[in-house]
Amino acid sequence: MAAGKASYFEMTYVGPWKGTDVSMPETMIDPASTPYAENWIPRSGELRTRPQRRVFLPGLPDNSIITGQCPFADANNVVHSCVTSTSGLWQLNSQWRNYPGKTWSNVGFYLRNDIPAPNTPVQFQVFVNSLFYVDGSTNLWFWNGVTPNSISSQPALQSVAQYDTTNLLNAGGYFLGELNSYIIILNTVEQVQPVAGPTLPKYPSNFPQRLRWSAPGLPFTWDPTVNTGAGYIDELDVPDTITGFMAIGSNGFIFRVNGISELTSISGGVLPWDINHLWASQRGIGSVYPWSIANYGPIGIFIATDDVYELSLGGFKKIGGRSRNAIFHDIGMAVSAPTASIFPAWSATYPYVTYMLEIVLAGGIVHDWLYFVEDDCWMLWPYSNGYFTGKVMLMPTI
Amino acid sequence: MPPIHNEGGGGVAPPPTPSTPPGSATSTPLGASPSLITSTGGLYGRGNILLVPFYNEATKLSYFVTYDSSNFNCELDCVYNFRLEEVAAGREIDVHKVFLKLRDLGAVTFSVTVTATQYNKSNQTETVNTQTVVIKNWGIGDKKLHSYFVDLKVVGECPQLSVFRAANAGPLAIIKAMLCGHSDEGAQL
Repeated sequence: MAAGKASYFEMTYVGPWKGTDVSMPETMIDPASTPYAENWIPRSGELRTRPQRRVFLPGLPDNSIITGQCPFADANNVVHSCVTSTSGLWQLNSQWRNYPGKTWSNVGFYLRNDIPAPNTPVQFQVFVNSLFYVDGSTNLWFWNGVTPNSISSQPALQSVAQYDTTNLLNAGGYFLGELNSYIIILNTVEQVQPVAGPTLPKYPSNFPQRLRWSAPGLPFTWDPTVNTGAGYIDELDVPDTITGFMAIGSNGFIFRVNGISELTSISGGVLPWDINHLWASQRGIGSVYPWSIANYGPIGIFIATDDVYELSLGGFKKIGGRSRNAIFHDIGMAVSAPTASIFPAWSATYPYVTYMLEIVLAGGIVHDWLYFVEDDCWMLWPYSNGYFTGKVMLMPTI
Repeated sequence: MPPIHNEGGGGVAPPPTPSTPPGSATSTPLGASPSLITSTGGLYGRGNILLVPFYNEATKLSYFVTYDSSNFNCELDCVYNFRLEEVAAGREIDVHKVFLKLRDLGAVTFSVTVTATQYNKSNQTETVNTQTVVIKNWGIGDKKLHSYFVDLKVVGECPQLSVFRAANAGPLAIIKAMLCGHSDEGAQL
């Protein structure tokens, strides 16, 4: 130090920690923020090295790629921890701890024409003690946890959205939801025929602007000629395609690349919905990345072109905040569509609502951006040589 | 059996037939009831674990991982850079101590680094001064708060404190960090 008078100083860093801040030069950020950090988690005003990640359950016996997971309670109040893969639907065996190698049992295999793409995360909906899901094929898959049994000859796994019962045509799609007892499929994939006839060839066709719903309370009835409560509508008055669906309270939100349409149930009749495009202009806040949408309870989070947004009963809120530029830099460098999950806890003893956004970069590098809802801060957890193939979720194991 | 009148029709329902004792020869077998169909597999619905469907590109295997929230010994390197400190713009800073308030979650090895940039006026160049102190096997896991002092000496502008903990080197919980030193009160460099 140069000769002369010197004064003592202390610089203190203390929580609540505010996460990554790239919004200003490193000398101008808040002392509780970091210009760069890897693998830390804020915890009750502490800054901890993140929880250890380890293998908990083995893969499926046929080593098919897992595409999603969802638990549900059946009519007997028995809980099934279900997993979908590129080969079919599986469930966790109750005695998996006692019988290594017998962790999973198959519920149903897909036929050759129904095998989904491995990079399409499955969208689930639990409705009346049954599991429904779509995987980008022409099927709305259904299992009630009870079939097969001694009095039912039906297969366990059924494709239930037959929208044309005369020509036996099924519908599926990429997104799924439930609102006011209607099961709704969005961005549909439907069997179509150049020449109609129940035995004539069928081809899958994608309708990215289409919204199709079952009759109210009747998730197996999709043919409008059988029950006028079922139907479909094409959102042809908007410039883009459907990228997700979220239900908060009695309202549904249909996400598009350039906007959001609010879906309100108005009747049980032929046209049960009032669809209101939220923005006055042709282009507005929408969800650019289909699998970035995640919701838990009254909170939904998605990525638009300009920021990360939290959608709740109180409206929209930008949450990218001081980390936004770093997150969007990674999104801009991604080699596949980012995927996201919200989970309410890390375990039963560690409740902490967290949004986890996974971005796969070139060279096998993965950047997980975690948004800790209570602390309103983002942290980066990078790793390599792998990626998530479905939503992160708390799953019953006993 | 006499007809049973509907309610509101003015009729009266007959008295209930005495039930046959269970297990007697005349007991009527139970018919099929949907509520008695057993489930196909299933669980009690307890023991929630945060599961992540994961595909390992190196092994080409798909399996489930979890984040163990009772174990903060992260399996990867952890690095945390604190704010770059401009204590007195354009003046030299002398950092001689780092104070840490830590929660003892178990034995951990980590390092504390202070970096500063020293400006050389004579040839208009900069030198990066850095000093790293490694703290080995600190902590016994008593879950209590403890103070830790790191003595070092780094001179330069805009000092920055960093904490690094290598993969699997133990759980680290920082409550507070403090950078202590002197700043030159003389003229700028």
